[in-house]
Amino acid sequence: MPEAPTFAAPTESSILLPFAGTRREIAEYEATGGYQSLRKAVGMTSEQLVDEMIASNLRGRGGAGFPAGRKASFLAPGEDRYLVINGDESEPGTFKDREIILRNPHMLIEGILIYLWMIKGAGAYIYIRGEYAKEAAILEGAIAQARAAGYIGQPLLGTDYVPNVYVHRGAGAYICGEETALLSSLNGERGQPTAKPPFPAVSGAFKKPTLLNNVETVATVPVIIGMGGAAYAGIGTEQSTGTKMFSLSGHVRNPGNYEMPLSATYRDLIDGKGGGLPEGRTLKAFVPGGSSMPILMPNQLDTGLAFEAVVAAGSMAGSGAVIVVDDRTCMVRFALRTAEFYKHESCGKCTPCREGTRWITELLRKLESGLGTTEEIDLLLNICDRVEGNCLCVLGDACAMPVRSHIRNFRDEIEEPVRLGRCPCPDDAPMADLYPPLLRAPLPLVHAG
Amino acid sequence: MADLYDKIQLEVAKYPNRRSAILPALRLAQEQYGWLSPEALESVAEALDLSPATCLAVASFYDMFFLQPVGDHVVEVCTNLSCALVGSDKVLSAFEEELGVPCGGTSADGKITLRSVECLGGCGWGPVVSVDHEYQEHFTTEDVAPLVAELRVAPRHTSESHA
Amino acid sequence: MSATVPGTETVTLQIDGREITVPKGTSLVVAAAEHAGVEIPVFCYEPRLGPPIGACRMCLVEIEGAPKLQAACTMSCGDGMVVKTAETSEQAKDAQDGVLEFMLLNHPLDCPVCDKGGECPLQDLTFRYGPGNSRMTLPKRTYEKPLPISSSIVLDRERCILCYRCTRFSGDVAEDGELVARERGATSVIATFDEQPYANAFSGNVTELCPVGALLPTAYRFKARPWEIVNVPTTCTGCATGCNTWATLREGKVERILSRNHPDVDEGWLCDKGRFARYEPRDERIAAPLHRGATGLEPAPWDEVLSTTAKRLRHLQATGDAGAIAIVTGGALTNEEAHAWRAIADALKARTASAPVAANAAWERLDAYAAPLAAIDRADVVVVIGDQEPTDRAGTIDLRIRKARRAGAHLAIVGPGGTSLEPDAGTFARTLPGAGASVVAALAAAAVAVGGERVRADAPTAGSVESLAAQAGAAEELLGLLAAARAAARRPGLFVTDPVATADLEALGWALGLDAGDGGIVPLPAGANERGERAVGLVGGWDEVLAGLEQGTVSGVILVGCDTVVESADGERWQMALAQTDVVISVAAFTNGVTSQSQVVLPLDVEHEREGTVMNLEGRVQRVRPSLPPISGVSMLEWTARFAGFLDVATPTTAAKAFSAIAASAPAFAGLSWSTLGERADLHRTRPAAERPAAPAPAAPPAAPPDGAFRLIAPRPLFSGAAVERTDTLAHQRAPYVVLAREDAERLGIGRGDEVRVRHAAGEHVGPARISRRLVPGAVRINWRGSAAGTSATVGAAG
Repeated sequence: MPEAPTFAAPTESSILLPFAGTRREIAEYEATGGYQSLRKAVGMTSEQLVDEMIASNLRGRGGAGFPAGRKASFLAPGEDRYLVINGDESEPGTFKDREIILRNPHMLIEGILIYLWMIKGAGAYIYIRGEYAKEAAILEGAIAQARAAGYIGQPLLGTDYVPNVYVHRGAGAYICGEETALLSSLNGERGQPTAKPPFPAVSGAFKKPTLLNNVETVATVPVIIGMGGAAYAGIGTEQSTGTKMFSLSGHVRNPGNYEMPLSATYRDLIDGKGGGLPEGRTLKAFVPGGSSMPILMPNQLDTGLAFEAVVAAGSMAGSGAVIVVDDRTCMVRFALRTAEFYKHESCGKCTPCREGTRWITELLRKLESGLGTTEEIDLLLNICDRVEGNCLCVLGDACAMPVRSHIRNFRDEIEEPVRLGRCPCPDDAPMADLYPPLLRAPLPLVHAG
Repeated sequence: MADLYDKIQLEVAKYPNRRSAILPALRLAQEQYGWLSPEALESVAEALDLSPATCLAVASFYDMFFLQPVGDHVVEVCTNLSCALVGSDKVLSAFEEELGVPCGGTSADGKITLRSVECLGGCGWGPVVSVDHEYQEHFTTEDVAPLVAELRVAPRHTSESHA
Repeated sequence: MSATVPGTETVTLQIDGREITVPKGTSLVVAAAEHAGVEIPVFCYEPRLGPPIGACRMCLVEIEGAPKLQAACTMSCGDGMVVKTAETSEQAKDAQDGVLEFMLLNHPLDCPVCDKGGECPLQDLTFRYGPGNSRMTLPKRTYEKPLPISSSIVLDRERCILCYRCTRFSGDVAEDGELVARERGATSVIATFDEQPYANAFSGNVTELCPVGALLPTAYRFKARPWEIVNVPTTCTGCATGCNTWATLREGKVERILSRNHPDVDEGWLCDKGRFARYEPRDERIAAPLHRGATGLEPAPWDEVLSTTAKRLRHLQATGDAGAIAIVTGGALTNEEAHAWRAIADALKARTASAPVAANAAWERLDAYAAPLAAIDRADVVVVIGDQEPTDRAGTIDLRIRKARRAGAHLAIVGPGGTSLEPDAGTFARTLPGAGASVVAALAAAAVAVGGERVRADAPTAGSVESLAAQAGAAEELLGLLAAARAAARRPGLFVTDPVATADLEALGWALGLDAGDGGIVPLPAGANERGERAVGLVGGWDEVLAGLEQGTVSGVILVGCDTVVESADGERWQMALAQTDVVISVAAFTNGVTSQSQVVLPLDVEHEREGTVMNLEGRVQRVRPSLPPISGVSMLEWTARFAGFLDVATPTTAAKAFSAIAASAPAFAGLSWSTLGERADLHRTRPAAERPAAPAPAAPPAAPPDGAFRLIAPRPLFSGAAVERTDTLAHQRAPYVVLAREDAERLGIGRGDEVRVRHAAGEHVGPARISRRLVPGAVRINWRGSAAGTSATVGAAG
């Protein structure tokens, strides 16, 4: 039987997960200083807490990298305000929030309670992706322990504020990681994004002012309150402070999650922590921050992990999911597999995304099968241009940006099936079985609704 | 069924409005009925005071709800990039061969439904196979036959509890 | 520069180089069109469906300083904003070309055979915008089509551009949630549940909302091209709401009804009865005067029938007491027709009756408290009292009540349960069936007892709060409701759908001080022009005439446009009474429960056949216009004038003249003139100062049914009547059903969908069971075609 995941050992820079194995029991967590930041926070005012967050310059860990302190300061006033924790983690390549929940659930709960205290929230809902059944159960267990220990469901540490925390499980939809889609889903609608305004800070969960943060962001808060915002800001770079979890996968010797200071580079991560590529293979490209980001090339390995560094290199840091691609990999299939995913996950609400992701995917499929034309490759680039930036949310961009980068960086390779009339890759190339030449499915003609 | 109605009311109590309980309610109904049959959706609709069509609209949006009957066990192979790069395509092929059905189908004995799914969030530990919503990681083609043999004799999962 | 309303905050911005000043909060789409004269094309934008959703992306514009294009529909105008539409921005133009190309990728482009062609926003916008070609090199998505989503509407999924207007209507306006999008992404489709019909009472609105040919009315498919039709502006006479409509006329036939948005009346919505019900086939209509001969009803010349009838009535009048003759109407006449009958009644010294129950129809008593329809939007509290859903009395009012609730009004439902407004109501106070009158009395008394600044100290009371509320079975909820109403009800809206005497409502209005502001009571007449008939002098109730018939004081009756046997709760008594009455004359569209007992039957002109005016439940006087000739070739105004002539009185033969006469004599019409009524009539309210009413008589609680029997809830449904019953495309709307309380269903072993038989005084009703957790146990609710309220019933599994 396959083994359970093996967690990476703590790195020298670990402040989120500075231990091997798990700390799921509240006693273990408290014995190592757990819930002390909450005690400290309860002695502070909301303004002081927001100031501390701003001082830390913590940038959201979900993908967009928006400063968490400023976000907290935007929350509209109101009687019923909610905290929602985004644990939908669905960007391909990303599995870091899961590791935090599996190994250190109480750190997340503590962060939630600090946040709740800060906003005097009517409740917190952890939106965790539906597939994370075990992780949801672990969170439920941790909440039960925190409740038994007096942190939840009763006046908090001698104050008259009563925090409540609930786990809300998704049901399998990537788009629910997008904040407005997540809130639609939590509100019992189809998980489709909504136009902004109104922003979640004004009308979010249950149509009330809502503060929405990623699991890792919230789990980092006890660290910041514990060490002080300024001290935290001393780690990493000026614009990208602290440490961050990076999910390393693909063709690398030691895949897994690694906590890295944001001053490190992709080479530190891939070659250093990851041990480089397996014997005999060479790096073809790497995805720097989840499959929705433009790929980077081997000569960009020394790019910094910091948000600003990745932007300067022509991509984005996103969720911190790094997928390593070796020289055997067919980039037509890689592009097709990427596009297929976003087509599958398009919510269908706005026209360019719904139709564009399908068109991009089917054109790539045609290319992969050797039936495409060079005109269609140019058409693909034009469709990408017309999708990107014109959609209701960024899912359309998430399809267009990487596909454009695949075509631009590997134009020759993408054109090869056009010249040959077939995909030139050998049968043992990665993903070969997903696109078998003999069983190649015809283009879908009929969709039975 | 009355007990489903009561279970759903416990979920409703966690939210300021009943509609927010639709995902937990659909999950409970699927556990009870095996899939979200029209009858199952009508039960959810009744418990939440929503239209059955609303329940259908929401259920059909999400990959984890089954609007067609499935086998006693559901085997889902992640075929997204990270897993596909490390061989999940071969694992999927092996399942197809072992079960004698193409991806999406249910074995002739009605025991096992095979699906390919998008990223499950186990990318560093791939290939990932989810069996009745429980992950098995570092899954190889050699693991296929033993798992199928085990599932063929195992009763249907009725609870998702993994605690 | 455009004019702005003084006193409102404004912002100044630039659109395509034109500087405009608009009220703050104006949508960019609207601002561009109305203030800068620039069209920003849209598909999904439709303000009546709620906040904009930014889905179709057709309205992308460039805004200086924004990192990417923005959907104009979801943007509010900001001060100093510099906006470039596709007219002036290449980036926006390219994006718009892209959106239109995406939209048409899988569209079949079958305009030549599409009924929408010629009046299709997709066709028009493709003509005006977009690239003019497609680069699609792949096969298009195809679907099974056309797909009936009910007997009224067909869906073509290939034409659908997924703008979500229809599903937003279903989810956010009608709130039925029956028409939805299922699946996700490019496989999303519009669907109903399990191929069940989309059965909402307002379903037809989606055919008008659809900006492509995806949702079309079945009855209009392949019927006409837009250049062959004439659209006649008129007013729906299906109920007392008076929704404004267009009648689409083609070759002598009304093929379609469209909304003609009157924001204060219907907001552009119609119910399916108003939209789809037709008095057809015309060849089954009573099209000539008939008199009963040896072989039954036989056609006869007009003058012969009218003069003979006049003679017989004169004879009756001469031999009987005053009031020996009764003219009974039911809201089916125009004001002008009613005016003629008033003159005939005067000539015959006849008594009149225009409402089922006289005590419930003195609408002018409520004028001091009555609220216009638009006031519902501004209500803080909306209270619905009674067994019936407001929809059944006045269709589109339901949509306004829901809109008010969504805007934050507290909705309180007081009734036996099992209606569609309860799930989202802030308060549901459950009562026994038929308790509306005692609830109103209890409310009036409780309002006084609870006191407070908004309750008149001199309000009349009726009985003790506790006893009456207890009888209504909802004491606690009721008092809570009252407290909430008193706290917030600066702008309450009160609907009462049970038979309740207007004097009792008046007492409640006085007690709650509902004469302030907009007023607070929205009366719901049973007949479409019941108010108008009454306003021109056809006062009185059927109940009084029935008593007269039974006592022998009425010996001749003329039933004009009403079928008291079916439409009255006392149908059986009417049937027996008419059988013993000397002279029975009826005016009807089709043979019905009263024509079979008549010696003379005259043809009734119905909607689209009449020129004139009607008065809606607010008192708004609106024009109805003919699209078709009168069924007999002679209009009712003409033949009533002839008939009146035989009685030696003169009545106007044209609607314009009749209206002038009405305006000169009837106070409710004072100041109105035929020529200035206009296309969207204003409401000329006559609001007298409230006067302290007499204390109402204590209302009796509903009587207990016999042992083992159920209390029957069977108010007349919206989908009933001669036209509905003959309209095939409304089959699913009138399909019978039976609502049982869960406890009763379990006791009887009846499950959801099982066929149930309900036997009651007026007949037998068989339909599938709907199980309600709110319906009061011991009661059964059915959609019986007639009125059978207040009786008991036996219930059992059918078959």
